[in-house]
Formats: sequence, C-alpha cells, structure tokens
Amino acid sequence: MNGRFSDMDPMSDAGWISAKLNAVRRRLFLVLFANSLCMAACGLVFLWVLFSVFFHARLDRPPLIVAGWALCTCVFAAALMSFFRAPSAKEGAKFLDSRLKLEQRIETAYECLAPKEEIDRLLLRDARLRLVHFRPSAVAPMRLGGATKMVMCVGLIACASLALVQILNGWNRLARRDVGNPGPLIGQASNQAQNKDQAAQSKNGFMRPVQQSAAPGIINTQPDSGPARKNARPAPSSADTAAPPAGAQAGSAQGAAESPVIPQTSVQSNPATSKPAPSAMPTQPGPPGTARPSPFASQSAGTASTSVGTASIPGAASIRALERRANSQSAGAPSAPDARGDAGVAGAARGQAMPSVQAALSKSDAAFLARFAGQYQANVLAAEKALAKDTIPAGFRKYIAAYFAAIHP
Amino acid sequence: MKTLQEQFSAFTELHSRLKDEVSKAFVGQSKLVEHLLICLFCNGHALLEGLPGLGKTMLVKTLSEALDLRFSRIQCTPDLMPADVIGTTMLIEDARGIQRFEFQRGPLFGNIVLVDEINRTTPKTQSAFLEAMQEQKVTVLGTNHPLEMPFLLLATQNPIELEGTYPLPEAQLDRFFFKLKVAYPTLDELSRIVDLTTTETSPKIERVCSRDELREMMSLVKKVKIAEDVKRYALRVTLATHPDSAEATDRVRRYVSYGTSPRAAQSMILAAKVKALSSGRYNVSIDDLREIAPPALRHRILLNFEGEVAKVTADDIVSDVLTQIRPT
Repeated sequence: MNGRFSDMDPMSDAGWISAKLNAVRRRLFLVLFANSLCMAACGLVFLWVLFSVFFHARLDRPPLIVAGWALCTCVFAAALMSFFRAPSAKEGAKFLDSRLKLEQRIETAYECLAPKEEIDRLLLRDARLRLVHFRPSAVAPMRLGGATKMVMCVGLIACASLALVQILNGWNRLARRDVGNPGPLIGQASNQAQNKDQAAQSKNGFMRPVQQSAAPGIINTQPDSGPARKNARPAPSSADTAAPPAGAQAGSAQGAAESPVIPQTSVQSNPATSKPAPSAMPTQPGPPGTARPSPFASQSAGTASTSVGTASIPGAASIRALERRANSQSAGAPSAPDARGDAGVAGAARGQAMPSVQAALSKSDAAFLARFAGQYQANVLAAEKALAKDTIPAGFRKYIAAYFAAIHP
Repeated sequence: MKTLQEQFSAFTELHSRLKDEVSKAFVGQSKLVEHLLICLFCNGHALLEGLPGLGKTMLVKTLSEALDLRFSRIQCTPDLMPADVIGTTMLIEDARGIQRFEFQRGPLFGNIVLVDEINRTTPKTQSAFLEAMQEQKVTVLGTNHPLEMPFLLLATQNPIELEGTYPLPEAQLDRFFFKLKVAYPTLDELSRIVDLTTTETSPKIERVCSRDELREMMSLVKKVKIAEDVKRYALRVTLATHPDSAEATDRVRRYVSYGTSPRAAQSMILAAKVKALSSGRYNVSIDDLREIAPPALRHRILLNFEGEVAKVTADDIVSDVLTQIRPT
C-alpha cells in the first residue's frame, strides 16, 4: 500500500487520507513499541527474580554493564515484538474508526483510495472532513494498553510471590534448623549439596552416632565442665570414615582439643574407637570414596544437639558467648571462652569447633564461602555492637542467634 | 440534474419527512416505522406479526397515503381462492357487441398490498403470492402480467388463535424481506392513540413524494458502499445461524434445525445500506448490520423440537449469534 500512497497527489482526498493513515501507522507502531518495551522489561525482571530464587543465579558483572545488557535485551525484544505486530494501513483505518466512532467511514474510504465512481470520491471527501482536526497523538496516546497492564500486574504478582517464597523459605530453613532437621529447601544448590553430604554421611554411618550422642545430660554449655575435659583423648590424625561410631567423636575428639564441653556418654560409649567425625574436621578433606567433609556437616551435629534443648543451637551458644563477652567487658574481666572467639564457643556448645571465617576461607571451597564472608563478618560485628549495648530484646536475640546459625556458610 | 451528493441529501430528507408523516397517524413504534421504510426503499416485503388492534392496517394505509401509491387490501379467509387475489379472465362485450376475454386485475396489482391474516388462507392461495413477491409479476393463462413498481406486500399474521390457520411454508417466509413484530403501545403512546381516535381532530397525511421520486430514491440504495470486512461480518453472521457451520454458536447447534438462506445476507446488506443512507452516510457500518439483523433473520431460522420445547425464540438465537460473532 505504501507504493500506492506515494503515487497519490497529496492535495487530493485520497493522498491526504493515505498520509494520515501512514501517520497513524507510525504512531501505533511507536505505542506498540513502548508497550512491548514495558512487557519485555517486566519479563526480564521476572526471569531474573525467578532465576535468583530458584537457581541462586548471581550477577557477577558491574551493575552498569548488567543494566546496559538488560536495556539492550529489552529494546531488542520490544523491537522484535513490534515488528511482527506492526499495524497495516487498514488496521490503522479500523483503529481510527473505532477510536473516533466513525462507523467504518475510514475503513471504507481506504478501500476507495483509487476512486472510480462518484460515490468513492464522496466517501473520501467525507472521510477527510472527519479527520481534519485529528492528530495521531490524540487518538493513540502513549499509554499502556490493557494487555500490557495485565502482563505487568501478573509479573509484579509473580515477583512478589517469588519473594514471598524466598522469605518463607528462609523462615522454613530456620525453623527446620531449630528442630534439628535441615530438610530440603526449594531449589537451592547449597542445600542440595548439603543434602548430598548428609545422605552420604548417613550412608556411611556418620549420622547415627551423632544422634546417639544426643542423650540427655550430654551437653553442658557451662565452660567449667572439668571432668569431661579430663576424659577427653587426643584426636587421632586418621579420618577413617568406615569406623563407627564416628558421631561419638564429634563430641570427644574435637571437643577435647578445643572445647571445654565433652559429651560424657559418647566418650564412655566407645572410647577405644574414638575417631574424629567429618563434622569435627571441617578443614580436612576426606579420603577418596568417602563423604567429603562439608561446612554443612556441623549442622548434623546441630541436629542431634538440638534434641536436648535450644541451648545447644550453635548460634545461640555464639550469642551467649557474645553476651558473656559483653558482660565481661563491662565487668573488666574477660572470660575463658572469649579467647577462642565466637565460633569456638559455638562449636564448643555441641562439642566441636565452628570454623572461623578465615579458616573457612582457607578451605577447598573457599570461593563459595568467600561470597558470604564479608556479609557474615559485618553481621557479626553489628550483632556484637548491639549486644554490647544490651538493647536487644530477648526474643529478638534468640532470632539473631538462629539467624547466624542459618547464614553461617 | 442533481449530483449524487444532492440525491443522497434528498434521500435523507425524504426518509425523515416520511417518518414524520407516518408518525402523525401511527403513534410510537419508531423502529417499526423505520424498518417498514427500509422495506419500502429496498423493494422488499414485510411480514407484520402482532395482536389484533395494534394498528397494522393503519400503518400501511398511512404509508400509502404519504407516498401517493395505490393501496389495496386482501383479507385472507380459508375460502379465498388465488383468482380472488391475482385476478381472472372474464368475457367482456364491448360497445360494438364484440366479445373478448380480458384479464381483470385482482387486488395484488397495487403498489402497497396489505394481506391481512395471511396464515388464515389455504396454502393454495398463499402460493399465489409467491410469484408476485419474488418475480414481481403474475402469470395467468400463460400470459405474464408485470406488477407496477414499487410493489410492497405487507402481510400480517396473528401469533395467537392458531386453530384453523395454515402456517406459512418456509419457502414463502424466506421471500419476506423482514419480519416485523408489532409491540403493544406504552401508556403514553396509548394515551396519544386514544386522543387521536376519539376526538374530532384527525391527522391529515400529506403527500411527501411522488412515485417517480420514490423510484429514484430506491435506485440510490445500491450505490452505497460497504467495506470488505463489514460485508464479511454480515456473511459470518448469516453462516453462524447454520448448525453445521464452523461459526455456529452452541445455542445454534443445539436448538436450530435449519439456518438462514443467502437471501438473509442480501436482505441484511441491502437494508443496512438504506439505514446508512438515512443516517447520512455513504457506507455501511457494523452497527447498521447489527440493528438490521433481527428482523432480517428471525423468520429464516427454523428451530428444532428441542428449541421449541425449551421455548427458545429465533430472536434469542439471533441475539446469541450477534453476541458471539465479533467483527474482525
């Protein structure tokens, strides 16, 4: 049709109308492009949220580059969508008819652009008179269409839902840790790895002894549990995973070295075969064919320890240690656990040492841990500061303890 | 010589004046009057359905007076014979004593023919109207007698008192351009009717146009343009009344036995052209078609037994079709 338009005398009715229809087409294309751009942006944000929630995708590039790529993608997608849905001149005529309530005048006139009869000329003249005061921008304002609004609403709801899922997931994770069952979390690679480790550990008999060590009265969070320290034996250097009951050593081996807390029953149950559990050796990789010691292995111990009370939650012990530190600082006399640091106290609470950030960073999967190290350290400092001021309510303090237990890599 | 634009303007003016003139004697029912005028300009025939005493005969008489056309009326009864309608050949003796057969025209030879209670006469007589309605001529003893244009046959039928009646066959129903329903007047309209008919002041109907002017206006109708998509919409609506078609709605598939004929599409488009002209447009719009569809389609849709049991009407079907079929 464009060729036909260009041949027309612009002063004639047909030429004038065709020029107007072209203007409407251009305007409609522009509006369509703007709408498509919004839809593409919405889709992109949705995809990003989707991937970040379910696949833990992270943007490793600088924000400006990411934003630039996102903009380019949006523009390309919008251009593609607009190109394939570009309105024809006839559709422009129909749009004018419907918008200006012209009762198919323009559409009929469009079919008479090459007038043969007098009625055709009358139609064209009539259509021209109807469009004299018409501006494309007035007929097709730059606003979102119904479909675009709907898509954006759906996208927003989906993003909000995913965010909610993420929040609930975090709470769920905390709750599961509180009851000692980490459980599978939605699509998280780290949790999958954790589950793998746990499965491997339970398969190799690591989990069972840990659960055995969770007898009443085993855990003593008081630092002055002297007799337990006396019964402690030096940890063997070998990490033979085939030797049960390794869980007993979770309390004995590591606890003897670093912790004042010794699970007595576990030591007494099998003192001869006391060997370090994988959970007690986070920094040492296991032999080939055995379960790799994972930073999440400490959660296995936590699983068992929480069955005797919340006092054994590592985070809680950590917070208590921080409290003690705050109290001792206020009293001017540092306590013994302070020397080992928070992680040591936390680990001591369940008979093992929680690795420090630096120790964790030195591990084979340091790249993974390094991602969270800064955040963890910052949060520890903030928590220490808050505890020093002693302005945190007890409930919130408990939550913070659980939070640190949860975010610890 | 008038230009086309002047002719169109004259049409619009004539249509408006005709409506006003008819409204002097026939109170209310503006849609009915408008549809009747559409039939007139399209040279189509209308079947008026309504209860007795609603002014059907009055409407037709008023219209013929305003147009200065020859009006004739046929009251149908079971013993009415075709010759009574068409006319008959009679032996005539002239002044010189020479006898010859001469065709004596019946009441069908009028410009506006009112066939009252057409369903009371026998199918034999009803079929006598068929040729006149379609071919606009009658054949008697092998001789064709063309009817004078314009020829508008307006038949009435009573929706009640169906005992002893002969329902019109589908072939004859299809020849009616429109089937119009005469509704009962409202309170205000009834008050005006009573005022008009029970006082000494009776409305004087003036002649609006001559027969030739009317013919000229009728020739204008076919010049009106219709866009391709608008035409396709009319055809899709027509096809959607067929239970076997892809466009058919669920109600059509369930309740309709036979859909409309191609005459329905012709009627819709032609009537929509008159509607467009009377509205001052040179083109047919979708709204024209939607307004015209019920009277053009309702008598051409044949419901099945299930539809009749469910008391579904043809108007329900048309309304459903118009709702479901959207213009492209």
